[in-house]
Amino acid sequence: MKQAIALSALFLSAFVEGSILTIPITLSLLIVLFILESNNPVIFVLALLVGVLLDVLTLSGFGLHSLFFIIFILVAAMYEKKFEIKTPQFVFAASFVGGILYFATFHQGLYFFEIIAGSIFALFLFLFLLRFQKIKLQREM
Amino acid sequence: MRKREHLFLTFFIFLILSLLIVFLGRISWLEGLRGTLESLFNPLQNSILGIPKVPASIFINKELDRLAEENNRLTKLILDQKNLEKENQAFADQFSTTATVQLQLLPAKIIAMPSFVPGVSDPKYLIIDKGGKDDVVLNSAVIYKDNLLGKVTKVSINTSMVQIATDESSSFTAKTLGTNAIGIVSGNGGKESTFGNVLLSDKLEINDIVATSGEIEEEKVVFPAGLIVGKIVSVDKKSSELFQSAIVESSLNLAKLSTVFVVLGYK
Repeated sequence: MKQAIALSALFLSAFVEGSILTIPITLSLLIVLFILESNNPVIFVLALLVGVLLDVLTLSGFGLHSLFFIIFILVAAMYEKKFEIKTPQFVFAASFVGGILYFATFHQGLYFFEIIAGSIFALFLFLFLLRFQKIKLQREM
Repeated sequence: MRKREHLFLTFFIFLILSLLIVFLGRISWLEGLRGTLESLFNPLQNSILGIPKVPASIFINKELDRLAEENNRLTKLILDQKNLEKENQAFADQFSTTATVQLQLLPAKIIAMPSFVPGVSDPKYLIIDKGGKDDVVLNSAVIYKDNLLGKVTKVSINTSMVQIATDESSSFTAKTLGTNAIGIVSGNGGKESTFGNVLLSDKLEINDIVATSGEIEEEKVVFPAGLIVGKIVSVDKKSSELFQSAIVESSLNLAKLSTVFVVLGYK
C-alpha cells in the first residue's frame, strides 16, 4: 500500500515536472522517500520506473534518468554511515547537490532558482512526512 | 549489516538494468516502446498543461492583451509592406526578381511547456505533439504567425522538443527591416535577446523590427528569411568598440500559445 502511494506520488510528480514545471520535484521526492525509508530496496524499483517515465516525457535518452536516480540514491546511502541522514539539514543538502548535478547532466546549465525551490520543497515534504510518521508511531504505541 | 548488503545487491541489479535500458535505447531497440508510451502519456501531459492557465487567466488584463494582439498584427503588416517594397524595387531595377517563398507548414499542438512558475514565467522549452512520423526533423524552424518561435532540438517518434529562440543557448543571424543592419541574435532568456556583432557603420534604431536573414546550416536553411524576432528596445553603441548591439524584445506571449507551426520545407 505504502509503495503504491509512493509510486503514484512519483508518477504524478514526473508528469508535473515533464509538463509544466522546471523544478526537480521528482528528484526531491525520491530523496525524501529514500531518507524516510532508508535501506528499503524498493526505492530502486521506484527510481527505475519513474526514471523511464521522465525519459519519455522529456525526450531524454532511455534509461538516463533511471541511471542518475539510482546512482544518486546509492551515494546518499553511503553517507548513512558517516552522518545522521534523517535530518532536515541532510535533506536540504542532498536535494541541493542533487539539483546541481541533475541540471548539469540533463539541461547543460545551472538553474539556480529551480535548485533552491527543489531543495525547499524536499525540506518541507520531509518535515511533513516525518511528523506524519511520528504521529502514526505514537498511535501504534 | 545484512540489510546493507541486500541494499547494495539490489543497487547493482538495478544499475545493470538501467545500463541495459540505456544501451538498448542507444541502438534503437526500444523505439517502439517509447512510441507507445508517448501515445499513452501525451493526452495526460496536455491536460496537465491546461491547469496553470485557469488561475493565470485571472491576472490577464484583457485590454493589454488586445493591444498586444493588435501590435503583433501591425508588426506583420509592416513586414508584408517591406517585402512588397523590395519586390517592387526588384521589378523596377529589372536586374533581379524576388520569388515569393511559400513555406510548407505542419500545425502542432503544444503538450508541455515547463517553466519556473507555470502560466507566469516564460518556458525554457516546448514539447509538441508532432515527431519523426510526421516528417519533423532536427533544426526545423517553429513559427507562429510569421514570428520565429524557435527550432526543433530533439525528435522522437510522436513528439519533438522546441528550443525557444530567446533561450540562452540560441544563436542565429538576423537583420533589421528598417536599416538592413546584419547581426547575430543571441538569446538572453525570457522575452529578450541581444542583437550583436553589428558593424558600427550600420544603423540601429529603437522600434525597428529584427527579422531572420535566412540562415544556412549544412546546406539547409534553418530559419527561413523574414521571420519576426522582435523589436529593438535599446541600442548599445560605443565608438571605442568594434561592434554595436541592441536589445530585442519578442512580442510573443508563449504562455498563451496552444498551436504552433513547424516549417517542413518550401512549396
